[in-house]
Amino acid sequence: MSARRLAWLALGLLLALPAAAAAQSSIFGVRGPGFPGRPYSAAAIGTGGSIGLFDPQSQLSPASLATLRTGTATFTLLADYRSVETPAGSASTRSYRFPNTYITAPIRHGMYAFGVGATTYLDRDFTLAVRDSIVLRDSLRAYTDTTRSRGGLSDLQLAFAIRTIPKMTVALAAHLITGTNRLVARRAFDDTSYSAVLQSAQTSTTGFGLAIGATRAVSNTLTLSALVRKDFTARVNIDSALYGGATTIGADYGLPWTFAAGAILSVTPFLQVATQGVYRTWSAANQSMVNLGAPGAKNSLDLSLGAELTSRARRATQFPLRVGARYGTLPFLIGDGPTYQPSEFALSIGTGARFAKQHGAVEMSLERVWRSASGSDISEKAWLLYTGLNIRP
Amino acid sequence: MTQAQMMPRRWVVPAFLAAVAVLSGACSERLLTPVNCPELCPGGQIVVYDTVLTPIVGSDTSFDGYVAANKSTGILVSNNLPAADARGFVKFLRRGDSVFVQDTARTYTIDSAKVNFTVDARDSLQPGVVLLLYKLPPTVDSTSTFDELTAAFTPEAFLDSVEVPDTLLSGKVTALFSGETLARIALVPADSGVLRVGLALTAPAATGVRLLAVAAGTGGPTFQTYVHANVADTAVQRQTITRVPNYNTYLTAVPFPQPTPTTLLVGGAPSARALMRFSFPLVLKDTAEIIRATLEMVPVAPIEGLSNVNSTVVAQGILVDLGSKSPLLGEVTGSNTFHVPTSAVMSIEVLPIVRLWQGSAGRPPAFFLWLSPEASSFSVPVFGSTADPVRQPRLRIEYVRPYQFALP
Repeated sequence: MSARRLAWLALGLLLALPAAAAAQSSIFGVRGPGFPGRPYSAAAIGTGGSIGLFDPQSQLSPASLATLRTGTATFTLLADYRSVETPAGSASTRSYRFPNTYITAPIRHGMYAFGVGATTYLDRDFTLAVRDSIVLRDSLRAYTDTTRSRGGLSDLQLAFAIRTIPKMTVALAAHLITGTNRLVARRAFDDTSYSAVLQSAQTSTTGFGLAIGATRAVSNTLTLSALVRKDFTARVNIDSALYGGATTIGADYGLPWTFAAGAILSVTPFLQVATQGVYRTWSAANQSMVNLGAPGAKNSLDLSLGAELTSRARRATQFPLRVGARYGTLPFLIGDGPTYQPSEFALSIGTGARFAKQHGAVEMSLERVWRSASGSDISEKAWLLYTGLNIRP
Repeated sequence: MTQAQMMPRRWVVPAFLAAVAVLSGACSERLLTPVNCPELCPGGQIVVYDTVLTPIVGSDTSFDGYVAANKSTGILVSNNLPAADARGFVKFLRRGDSVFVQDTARTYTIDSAKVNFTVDARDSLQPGVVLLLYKLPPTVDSTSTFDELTAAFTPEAFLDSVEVPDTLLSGKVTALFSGETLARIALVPADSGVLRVGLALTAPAATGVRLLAVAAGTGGPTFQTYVHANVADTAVQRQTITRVPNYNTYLTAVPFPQPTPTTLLVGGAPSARALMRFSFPLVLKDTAEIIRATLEMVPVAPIEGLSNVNSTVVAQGILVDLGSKSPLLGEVTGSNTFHVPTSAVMSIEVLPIVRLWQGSAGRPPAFFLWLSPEASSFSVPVFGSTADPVRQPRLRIEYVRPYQFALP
């Protein structure tokens, strides 16, 4: 299949995808615009995300197209099983998502490469239940509030990599950040004399971003990569009417700079070790969040370390063992009065295999994640099962 | 490729399918999480507002003349009941002097006769209730007064007494005439084939019953005559002639109260209904989500009636405001079923009606109140109107304004 046909296929697939290919949900995405997505393939997740800057099926950096050898379509499926603890109780949740879809191809005899993909920028899927009571007609009336949100922001990327410089790849990417958020608030009183309150709204958000990344092979065993990305202001529109003291419909909030750097080292022909750090200046959204009534936002840091062990150097894609660990702070604060910045720690393991004469590949990774906000009573643990399907025409 | 190399690859597709199967199991999303507010509540909280509306002063009034006693579904009979001392009157359709058998009119000989009534409601705690039936002369008709009716209840006109079993809450009661008693119900030439029955009641204490009338559809009074037709074929000799009322009504010793300019009255016969109009605030009409609306009516005096028999005050919206002739909105009603005696504030949940008032094409903000069963209840509630600020109707509304979703 030619690069041009692959490009058309890629575009068609992207248009066919749901706008919000959301990633995992989290209780820590409730008090902000959402929970940040992770633009990684299932293989990269297996290493804790540490090879994200080098993995051509991941969308963290356009420079990861450096090692792309053939046109590839990547689809990632995620099953998310969480147990959440809050002061109000505990719950087990599950969801099913498509967090990463990426179509890539080398062009001009491999001198260049492009990628077009969709990944999750912010996920805002949650359903919250509150039990409380109020005094109406001189009596205490118990009720259950349910707030449901579906949607979030998707990051549509068009990446272009220049691979003409020896041992180095420089890449650019343009990002369209867009999505809708369907919100439903319901209050049901125990006293059935009161009708249930049911209100809904839909917000739509758009933003734009640019990225530049580079990858350089320092030696035969060591490769370095770096990324700088700037996302501009997100503009939010809401379909419901003005309410209370509001003077405008919707809101704007700043999107962050992203700085990332990573290294991958071939310790032996069978073992690769990688590390990566990603820093995002989410404090750009802090003032807007506070103005909108949220606790606020702080910069986030994501650090990961991982390794990939293969049994045979010549067939490294057949059942490698990938392990990884990562630690990160989450950008959106929680709490009322005192606020807390959540953080997460994760361990992961994964493998994969190719089939159909190398035209197809399946990657699977299992990640165990612990999230909490020190100082608060809110925490969650999750099993995240990623399954990736790669198709090479 | 060796056998050993083939093995792992064999597992690739099954493993993928297994993964898809596992993921498919998660397709049914479950995200519900209990949380505390405001710590984990986005978008603030739902705020419930409360307001009380009163009718536009002078716009609330009662109208009478809706359903007459002879068009109602019930026949009231009582013995000195303070709420209403009532007697019943039933005039059956004419019974001919022949019966059609085998396509031929045949004369007949009467074997026996029955007069049936259906008790619709009675005081379940009052024992010893007996219905007294009188055969009335043709001089008693639809224009007769209570006094003229009761004057005809003479010992000579006495037909039978029908015991209403103490255990019977509702159901059929029958007066049977045969043998020696058959002559009591015999129609004389002056009757022109029409049986007229007067209904009174006796009991150890003042009480009453409500019998189903012909307007009820089923269960109305019936007059059955069992005859032997003059026909040779013995298989068809036995015939039954059944007659239903041509007219049935009840009369009270004292007429039911009439509407006054300063009160709102519902019930009675001919029945009265009350209309009240409200000024509906813009915030409720255009913006709010109303979650409860209760109409509160304050009786000006204790509501009397028949003990242990319920009546219901019904509130109904109107399609357009044409005063006393405003067409009612069919299925959308609110109601309060009350026991007597009562002087409590009568609360009627009217949310479905009030919701129809909302929007640019909303219905007129008004209620019609009427009493069910209409024109066949011993009770006649009288409520305060806007002329009496202390007892005027109140419409309590709880509502929610649009929820602020924009906040994270």
